[in-house]
Amino acid sequence: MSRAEEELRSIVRKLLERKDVELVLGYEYYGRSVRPCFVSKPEEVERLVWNSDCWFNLATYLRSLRSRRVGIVAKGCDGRSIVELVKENQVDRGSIVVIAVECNGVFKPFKYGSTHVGRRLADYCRRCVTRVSPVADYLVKKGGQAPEDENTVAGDNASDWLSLFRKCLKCMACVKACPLCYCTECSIEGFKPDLVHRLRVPQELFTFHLTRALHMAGRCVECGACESACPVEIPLTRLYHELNEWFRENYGYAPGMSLSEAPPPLVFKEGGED
Amino acid sequence: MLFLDEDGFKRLLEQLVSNIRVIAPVETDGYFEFKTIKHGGEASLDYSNTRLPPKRFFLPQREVVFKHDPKTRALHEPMGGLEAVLLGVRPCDASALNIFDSVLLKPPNPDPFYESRRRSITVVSLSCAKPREECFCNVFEAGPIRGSGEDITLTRITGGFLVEARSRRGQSLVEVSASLFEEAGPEHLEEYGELTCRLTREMNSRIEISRERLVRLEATLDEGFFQQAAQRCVECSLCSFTCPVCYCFDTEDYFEKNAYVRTKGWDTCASTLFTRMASGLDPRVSRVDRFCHRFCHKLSRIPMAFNSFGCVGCGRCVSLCPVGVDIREVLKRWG
Amino acid sequence: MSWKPRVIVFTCWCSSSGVDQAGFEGFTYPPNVLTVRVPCSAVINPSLIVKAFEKGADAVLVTACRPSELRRVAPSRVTEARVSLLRRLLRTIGVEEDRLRILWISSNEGSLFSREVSRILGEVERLGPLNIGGSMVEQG
Ligand code: SF4
Ligand code: SF4
Ligand code: SF4
Ligand code: SF4
Repeated sequence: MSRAEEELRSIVRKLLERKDVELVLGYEYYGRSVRPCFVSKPEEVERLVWNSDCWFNLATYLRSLRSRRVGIVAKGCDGRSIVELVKENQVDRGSIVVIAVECNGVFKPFKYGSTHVGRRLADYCRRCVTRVSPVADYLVKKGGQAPEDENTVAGDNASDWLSLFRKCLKCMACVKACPLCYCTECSIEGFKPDLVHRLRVPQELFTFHLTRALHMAGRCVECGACESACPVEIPLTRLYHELNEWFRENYGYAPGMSLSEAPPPLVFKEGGED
Repeated sequence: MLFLDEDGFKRLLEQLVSNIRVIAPVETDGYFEFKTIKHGGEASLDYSNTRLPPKRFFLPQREVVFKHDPKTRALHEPMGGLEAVLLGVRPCDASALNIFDSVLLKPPNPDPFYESRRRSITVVSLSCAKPREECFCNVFEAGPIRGSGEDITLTRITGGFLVEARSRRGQSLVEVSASLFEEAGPEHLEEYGELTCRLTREMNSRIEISRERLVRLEATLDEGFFQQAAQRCVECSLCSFTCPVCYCFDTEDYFEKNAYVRTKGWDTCASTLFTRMASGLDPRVSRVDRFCHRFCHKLSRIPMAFNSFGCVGCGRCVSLCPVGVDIREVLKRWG
Repeated sequence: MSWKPRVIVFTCWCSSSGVDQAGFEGFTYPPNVLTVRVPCSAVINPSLIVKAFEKGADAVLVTACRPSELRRVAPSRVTEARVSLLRRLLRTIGVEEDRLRILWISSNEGSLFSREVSRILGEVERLGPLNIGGSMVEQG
């Protein structure tokens, strides 16, 4: 158990004992990987872990727990997605306690049948702009090293996006793992059959992916949950990053960096002659 | 049982490739997928397993059921699969085909699309060399050496393969190249016995299950456990899309290129759209309901109706689920 | 060359009269240019442009009112921003961004429209067919 883990557990124990929160979203071990866990009793805090395998973005659960007071363990990008959710009125900042953990990047999760033996720093973590959540009620410093990069090259330069899209199963894991894809009637799942039918794979994967990219543009916090959840490892975050770059170049805006910054569509100013 | 040495295998493969469409695991970007190969060298045999099961060759993700042209009133029913040999299916995935057979070929209404594909594809399975951590095929007796839905079982031993024809189609494939095979000697059979013991011992998951108890799973649902696990599930439906056994489908009609088209494609019980009716009513309202359904169907309802379980222990859902939902936990608790 | 590029033109209400005028005044534009009239360019959901590409368009052209001629400037600016974002997206996935254009057309600019369309057609012809739909179903 690392020092950071110890600190994290004591914070969570205190929160639960004082009944500040009903439950805390954290990570636990199972087998050799890490998965999300929901801790609601002080004696359960021993399950909590924090390390470079904790790639999932727990903010995904916040909307379904809206009526309750929850604590959440948040990496830098997770914190950014909390900011976005608050700005989009999906969660109430007052009802969540953010336990920010300093993050040095996460590993790509191990995938079934993969031939990669070494563990690799996730692609999106190399583009990370904040290692600590922009909102925090508690802060756990990591003090550890950045994860070793055992295998940097392999497959990270794919650029033939059409053939990458073709691999997609339209399983919706990318959508469901994303904290910011919260629409109950998702236009690319099949609720709007004129745009994307439910079953028309692979014909409509182009529209599927481009529409998702457009819906994430200027909102995606590049947490990589979609990319890591994807069973066929399509590097989606790289695509969304390009669109975020467009927003940065044109509006100087990066999503999820501060609660007071309004998103570009809202500040779209009239004026400026042709 | 027959024995086929390495050389013979290579020759057999070349023969097959020149005569028929051969689909075999090919390495691409760090994992393996089934692809049509043009020459024997493309196939790779030291894979742990393909990331996606060979399900799509029998149940394509989307297929046209019929097309109807309103002007000419012609009804077009695409049918008939391409003759092919599917080589290197792991025993667990091959056993999944057996479950498909019992469900989809059940009289009086067998699925004609599945039937024609199943008839035209010869499945050759290959024993596992090294079970992965997430494998638990031994629990359902679906591996690691022998599955239950294949036409030919290949078992890798020193110097070659043990060959067992499991069906008439398998038998005839062996007969065509009979000169390549030889009768397996006692040393081969001895090694086979040892291998079976060793691999079963090496399996990471040793779960005792009892059919009787699992069949009652639905009645004895420990809601607390399921609620906890379901709370984690994000309903991404990745687990059913990558499962070799999940066969649920949906149909969709639309108008395209001057014809009405009815298609059929993969559906998944994790989706909120799965049981939603046209009126908007959804009998499976909550996430827990949908989540429990997956396990009850696989482990309790399929065994109730057919002589098999709805899971073959391939471990795909265990390893790929983004939030670590593990079907083995259900088995451990209720098995 | 027998292949002719298929171009979808989304026109707003005002610029559609510009397109009509091209017809009245005898300017020609090729028949493989299909126009879709919408009330205002700002209602063009970028997903529809994507859909047009998927359905076989080789290029998409959006015509909108000149921002300087509008009382409210926002709508055309919104469209402009969306098109620019989408062009970035197309470039990222390896589709030539010039297949998507925005053009300011007022209701009396028929000649401008037919001139620009011919120019764009020439360019698209040089780029060649796009065939997104076909490349998605290609068997691996
Ligand atoms: S998770 Fe991957 S395979 Fe599934 S829909 Fe998203 S991109 Fe496609
Ligand atoms: S689109 Fe992907 S990277 Fe962006 S916020 Fe959603 S899950 Fe995170
Ligand atoms: S893969 Fe996991 S999270 Fe996704 S639907 Fe299946 S059990 Fe739920
Ligand atoms: S339920 Fe999971 S382990 Fe069982 S066959 Fe399906 S994917 Fe494999």
